Amino acid sequence: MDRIQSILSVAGVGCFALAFVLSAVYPWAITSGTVTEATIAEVAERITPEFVDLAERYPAEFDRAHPGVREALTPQSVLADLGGSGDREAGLAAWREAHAKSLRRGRDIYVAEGCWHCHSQYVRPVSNEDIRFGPVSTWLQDNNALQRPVMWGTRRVGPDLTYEGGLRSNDWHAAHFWEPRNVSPGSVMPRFRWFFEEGFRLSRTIDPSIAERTGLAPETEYPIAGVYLTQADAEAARQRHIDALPSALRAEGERLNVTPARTLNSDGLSLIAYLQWLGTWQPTATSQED
Amino acid sequence: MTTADIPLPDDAAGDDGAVESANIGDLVHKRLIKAHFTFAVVFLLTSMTAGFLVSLNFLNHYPFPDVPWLSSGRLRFLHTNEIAYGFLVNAFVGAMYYAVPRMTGRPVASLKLGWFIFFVWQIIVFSASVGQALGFAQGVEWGETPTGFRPGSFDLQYIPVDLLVAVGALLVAFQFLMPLAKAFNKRLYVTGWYLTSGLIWLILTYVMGNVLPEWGMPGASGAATAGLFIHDLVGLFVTPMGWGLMYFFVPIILRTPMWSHALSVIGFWALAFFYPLNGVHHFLLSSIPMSVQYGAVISTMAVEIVVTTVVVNFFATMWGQGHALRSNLPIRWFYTGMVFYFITCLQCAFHTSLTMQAIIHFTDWVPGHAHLVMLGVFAFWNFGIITWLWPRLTGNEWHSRRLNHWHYWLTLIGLVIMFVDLLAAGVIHGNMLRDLVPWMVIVEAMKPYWGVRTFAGGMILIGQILWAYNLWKTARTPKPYDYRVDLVAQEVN
Amino acid sequence: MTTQGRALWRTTPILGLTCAMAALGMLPFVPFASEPSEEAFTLEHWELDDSATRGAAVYAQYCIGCHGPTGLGNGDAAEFLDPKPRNFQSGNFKFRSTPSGELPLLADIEHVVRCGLEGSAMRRFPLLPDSQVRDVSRYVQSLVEFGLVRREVEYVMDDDDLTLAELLEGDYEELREETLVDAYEYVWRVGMDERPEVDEDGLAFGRELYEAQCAACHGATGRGEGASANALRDYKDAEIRPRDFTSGVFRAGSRAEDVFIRLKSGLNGTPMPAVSGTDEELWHLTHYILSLVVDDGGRGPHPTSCACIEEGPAR
Repeated sequence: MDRIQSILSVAGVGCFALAFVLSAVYPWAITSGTVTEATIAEVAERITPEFVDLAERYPAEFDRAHPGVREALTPQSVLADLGGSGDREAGLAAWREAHAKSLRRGRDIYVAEGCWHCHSQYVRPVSNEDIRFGPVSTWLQDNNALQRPVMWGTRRVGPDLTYEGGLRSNDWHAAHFWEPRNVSPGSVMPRFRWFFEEGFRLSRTIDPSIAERTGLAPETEYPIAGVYLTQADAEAARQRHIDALPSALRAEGERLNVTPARTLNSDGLSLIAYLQWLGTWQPTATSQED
Repeated sequence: MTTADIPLPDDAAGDDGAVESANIGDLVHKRLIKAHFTFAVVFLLTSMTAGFLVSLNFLNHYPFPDVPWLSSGRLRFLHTNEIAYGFLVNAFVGAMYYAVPRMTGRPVASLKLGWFIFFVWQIIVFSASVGQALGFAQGVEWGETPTGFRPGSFDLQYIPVDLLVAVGALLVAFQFLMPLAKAFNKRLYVTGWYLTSGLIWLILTYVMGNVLPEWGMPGASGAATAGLFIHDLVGLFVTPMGWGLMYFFVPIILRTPMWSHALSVIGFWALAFFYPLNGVHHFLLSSIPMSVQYGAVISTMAVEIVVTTVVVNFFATMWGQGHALRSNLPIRWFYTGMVFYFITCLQCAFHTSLTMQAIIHFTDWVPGHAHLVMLGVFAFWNFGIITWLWPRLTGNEWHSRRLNHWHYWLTLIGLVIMFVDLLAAGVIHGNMLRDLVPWMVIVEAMKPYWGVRTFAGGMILIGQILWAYNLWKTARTPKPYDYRVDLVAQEVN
Repeated sequence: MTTQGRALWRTTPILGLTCAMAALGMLPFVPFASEPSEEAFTLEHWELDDSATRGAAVYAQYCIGCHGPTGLGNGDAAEFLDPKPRNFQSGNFKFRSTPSGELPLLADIEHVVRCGLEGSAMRRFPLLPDSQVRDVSRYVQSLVEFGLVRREVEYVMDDDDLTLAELLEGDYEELREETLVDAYEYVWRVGMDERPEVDEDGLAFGRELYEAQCAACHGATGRGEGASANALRDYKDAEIRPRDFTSGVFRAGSRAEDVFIRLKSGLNGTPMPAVSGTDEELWHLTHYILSLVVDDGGRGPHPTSCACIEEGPAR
C-alpha cells in the first residue's frame, strides 16, 4: 500500500510535468527554440523616425533623459547622412544606445502601469482583425527580448497596439496621456499626468500687425520647442535663441518671453518611444537562420 | 427533536484515521486559524474595494486619477493578486489547519512555524501590493507579484516578492505535508490527495510561471507558459484545495459519507491529468503552434467529463437532505458554488471552441467568466467554511445570523447580475469588433454594461462589508455558542 | 427561510445604498446644454443643412477635443500639439485639390478625415462609415462658410453701425448668399495631365526645377534644411518647417499623385506657393522629390494606412 501511494504521488507530479512538456517546452522547441532571440540592442538598431522626432520636438527634455546624445549627432543627421563633420558612426551608436534605453524603460512602464491589461499585442486571423489592426501576428515578430514577459494581453478595452508604431504622432500621444478624452472623447483610459513635469519654455508673441490682419488675439503666443526645469535655464536658452536668429527675424527677439509650461518627463518620452517602436521591428533573414 | 437530543458527533472524517490523541480538538490551533481568516477577510475587502474603484474608472468617475500609486492600472494588479494570494491562500491555509490534523489525527509540523508562516505570508502579500503600487509589477497575469529585479537582469530594485512567495509556499507545504505524509501509510481519504498534490503543484506552478516567461521564453513560447501558469494556478492549486476541503467539510456538516469514494478518486486523477493540459487555451488563435492549441481545446472539453463526475458525486451525497440548503448556510454556500463550478466549466468547454473564441476573446466575457470562477466558486466555498468555523473558533454565537444571509444574497445576486451583464457585453463587443465598428462606438456601447457591472460590484462589496462587520462583532461579543443548533437534522427513513 | 425572505425586503437602507451607487454610475450619461449668446454672430445663428447637422454629432465625437467646439482649432488637446489643429473658421486649408488660395472641395476634406495627415496628430479614421465621413466633412465645410460669413457680418455691423438683430432682420440672407457665391467662384479641381514615365532626363529636369524653386527652403538634400528654413512663418505668424522629403512622410499622402497635387495647388496659409509650370514639368519635379526619399527598409506604408485599406488588407 505504501509503495502504491508513493507511486501515485509521483504520478501527480508526472501529470504536471507532462503538461509542462506538451504546452510549454514543445511550443518553445518548435518556435523560439529554433531561432536566437533578438536582444534589445538588436531591436533598437533601427532608430524610428518618431524617436528622432521626439528629440527635435522635445530637445531640452530629450537632453535630460539622454545627455550628450544630440551633441554626438544632430537629429537631422540620424536618418539621412547629411555629410556633416564628426564621426557619424560614433554618433549613431550613441543614438542607438539611447533608443535601446528608452525601449527598455518604456516597456517597463508599459508593464508597471498595467497598459497590457487593456491593450493587446496580438492580431488574430479572425474577426476582421487584419483589416482593423494590421497583418496577423507571427511568433517570429515576438521573438525578442522586449516580449519577455510577453505583452499579448487578454482583454481589449482599448485597441490592439501590435502595429502602433508610426500610427499616431508623438504630440498626439503627449496630448493623449495628459487627458485621453481630449483627443478621443468618451475614452475610458486613465490619464497619466505623472508622465509630465512643470518647467519654463520660450514662447513668441504674435506679430501685432499679423494679429490685426488675421483677427487673432494680440496676446497669442507660439511656443518654441524645449521646456527647461528652471527659469534661469530658460532665460539662457532665450539668449541663445536670440543670438541664433537669422537677420530677417531679428525683430522677433523682442517678442520672446519665458513662460511656465508643462512637458513630458523622461518616463513619458520613453513610453512614447516604446509605443512608436511597436510593430516596426521585423526579424531579418539572417536572424532566422541562426 | 431538540438540539439537546442530538448526540455529539465524532466529526473526524478520516474513517480509520489515527485518532491517537485523547481529544482531537487539541490538535487544532484555533488562534492561528482565526488569524489567517482575519487577514483573509481583510484582503478580501481591500481587493474588492480595488475592483470596485477600477470599475468606476470605466465610467470616467475614478476618484484618484492623478495619484500614481492609486491609479486604476496599478490597482487592477492588487484586485487579482490579493484575491489569489491574500484571500484564497489565507482562507485555504486557515481551513487546512482545521482539516488536516482532524483528518490525519496528527498535528501540523510546528505551531511556531505556523505563526512564522502567518506573519511572513501577510508581509509577502502586503509588499506585493506595495511593489505594484510603486510600479514594480511583473508582466505575467495573476503573477504580477514583483520579481524585485530590474526586468531582464539581476539588479535588485525591490523586495524579491516572487522568491518569497516560492519560499512561503515551500514552508506551507512542509507544514502540512508532515501530517499528510505520515497518513500516507494508511489509506488516505481523497481530501488528503487533493491537499498534498495542491501544495506541491503550487510550488511548481508558481516557480514556472514567474521565472520562465521573464527570464527564458520570449513571445509565443512565453505566452504558452504564461497561459499554463494562469491555468495551473487555478486548476492545480485553487481547485484541488477547494475540492479537497469540500470533500472534508460537506460530509462532516451533512453527517453523511460521500456517495461514492471511487468516483471521488476518479475525479481527482482526471483533474490531475486533464487540467494542466488546458494551459494554452488562454491564447487561442494566436501564433502559438496550432497543434498545441488544438490539444488544449480538446483537453478542455475532456475536463467537462471530470467536472460532471465530481458534481454528481456531491449532489448524490446531498440526496435526501435537500432541506440542508435551507437550514444550513455553509451548505448553501458550498452547493451554490458547485452549481457555479458546473456552469463555469461548461462555459469553458464551449467557449474554447475556435468559433466562439473568435467572438468572445478580448471582451468582457472573459472577466465575467473569471469572476464566476474565483468569486462564484472558490470564494463561495471559503465563505461557507469561514461561516461554519467562525463560531466554533471564537466560541461565540453569531452577532447576527440575519447579516450572514444578507451576505449570501447580496453576493449571489450581485454576482449573477455581473456575470450575465459581462457575458452580454462580451458577445456584443465581439460582434462589433468583427463588424469593423469604429473603436469609440464600441466603447460607448459598452458603457451601460460597465454601469451595471459597477452596481453589481457595489452589491457584492456591501455584502462582504456586512459579513466582515458580523465576524468582528461575533468575535468581540461573548455569547456562548452551542454548535448543535447548526447540525443538519438527519432524515429518518 | 421565510423570516430571512422577509428580512431581505425589510432592511431597506442597504438597498437604498446600492441604488445610490447605481445612480452614481449613471452620472456620465446626463447631458448638459449651453446657453446661446445674444451679442455676437455665433454658430447658433448659423443654419446647418441635414448632412451638416448629422456631421455635428460626428464632430462632437471625434474632432472636438483638438479642433474645439466651434472649429477654431483651440480644443483642450491643442496645448500639446504642434502643428496646432486647423482653425476651420479661418478657411485656410493646406491640403486641397483646388487652385492656390481657394477653399477645399468637400472631397478634399473627406480624404483628410479618412486618411489622416501622416506624421501629425491628425489621425486617420479608416473605419468610419462613408456617410459619417461625408457628414462630418460637410460640417467642417459649414464651419468654414460660417467663418467667412461671420467676418463679413462683423465688418458690415461695424461699418454700418448695426446691431446683430437689425442685420439679421435686414440684409443678412443676401449678404450670406453673396459671400458664399464669391467664395466658391474659383473652387474646382485642378487638372492633372497623364503622368509621364520616370526617366533620367525627366529626373535631371526635375532636379533643375527643384534647385531653382524648392532648394531655398527644402534644402539641396531635401532634408528641409534650406537657407531660409528657420525663418518661415505661416499666415498666423506661427513657426512652420519645410517638409523633409528624405523621411518619406508626406502629410496628405505619399503617392506621386498626392505630391503632384501639393505642388500644383500649393499649401494655403503657408509660405509654400503653388509651383508654376506645366503639368509635365510638375510631374518631373514630383519624380525628383520622390527620388529624394531615403528608404531605410523599415518603413513601408503602415499596415493600417489608407493605401493598405484601399488595396485590401496587407498580408
